[in-house]
Amino acid sequence: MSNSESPDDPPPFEDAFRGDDVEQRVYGTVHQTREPTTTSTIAKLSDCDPKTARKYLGWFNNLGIVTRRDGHPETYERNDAYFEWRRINELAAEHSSKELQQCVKELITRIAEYEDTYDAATPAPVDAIRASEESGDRTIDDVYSDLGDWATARKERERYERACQQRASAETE
Amino acid sequence: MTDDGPPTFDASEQWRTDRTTFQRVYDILVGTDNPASAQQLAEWADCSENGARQALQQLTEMGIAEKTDTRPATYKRNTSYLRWKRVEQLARGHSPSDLRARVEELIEEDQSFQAEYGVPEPDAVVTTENVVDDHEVLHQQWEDLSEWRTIRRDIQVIQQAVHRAESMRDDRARV
Repeated sequence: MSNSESPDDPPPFEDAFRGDDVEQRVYGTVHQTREPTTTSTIAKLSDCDPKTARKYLGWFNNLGIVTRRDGHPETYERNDAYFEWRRINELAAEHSSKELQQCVKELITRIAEYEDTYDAATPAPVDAIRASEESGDRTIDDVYSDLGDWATARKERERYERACQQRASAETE
Repeated sequence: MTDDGPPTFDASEQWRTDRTTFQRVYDILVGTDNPASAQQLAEWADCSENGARQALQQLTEMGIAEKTDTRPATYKRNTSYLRWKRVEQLARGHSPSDLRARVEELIEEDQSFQAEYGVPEPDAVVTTENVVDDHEVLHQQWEDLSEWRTIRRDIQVIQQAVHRAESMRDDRARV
């Protein structure tokens, strides 16, 4: 795969298809798409004919790994929701329900502290400069670091909650 | 399909020629209820053991297969993936309002089962096996309970699909 080396690729899924058959090359190409891409472009990047590329893209679309967008011409892009689910699946596999619930609890506490400190429900509306001035003892860098951590904690809480749910429904099936 | 047998399409020549090794291993894996070894899956997928191993490793990395720690290692489908895929496909194929309407219908069916059996959920039904000797009544009850459990699962899945369809709609609106 000639284009698998770019440094900003998310690492863990890169190796899902090793070797050099066409199916694997198409997966490698589409995995790196960040915007809707036509079949012919994907075929060119994967060094195969468009008909073959379309066949595999249809299959990856069925698996939920890529999203097909109807149009003229139709386009494909990686389905970020699938990769998000993968992270949740890994959390659910690696932790017990109890551990996951404990993590959710800790995250909720952390988030509540930020909500109190900055008197806001989310980090988005917080004005870092003003918050720093008003606090007296927090530099702007401190505030930015808090806001970043707050946003991460919110995302993590959702992930851990979904992992909890996933474990619960896996247990009832 | 029997409990641990291969899916019925393994006899199809078409399937062998149209699907890649990876796809055939996928088909077999998702159609098999019990964990199976790479050797067994290779046989059912009509491919080499090596080819099956490679596909199974890929499927495990993708979250589609789960590998057990036994010796030899066995593989089974990850039901969480199939559930996620179902939510995704429902959300792709239906509008949020259609999905919400379907949830409403299922909730009504759920309520009529609750009324009929006088308990809030299927697992709370006391089986009348010891009381009723009438096989037809018993059979009907099993069928009801199985349908009721399916309704319960579907409500959850379709509610998730409502959220997913809404976020897809919002994403499209942003483009």
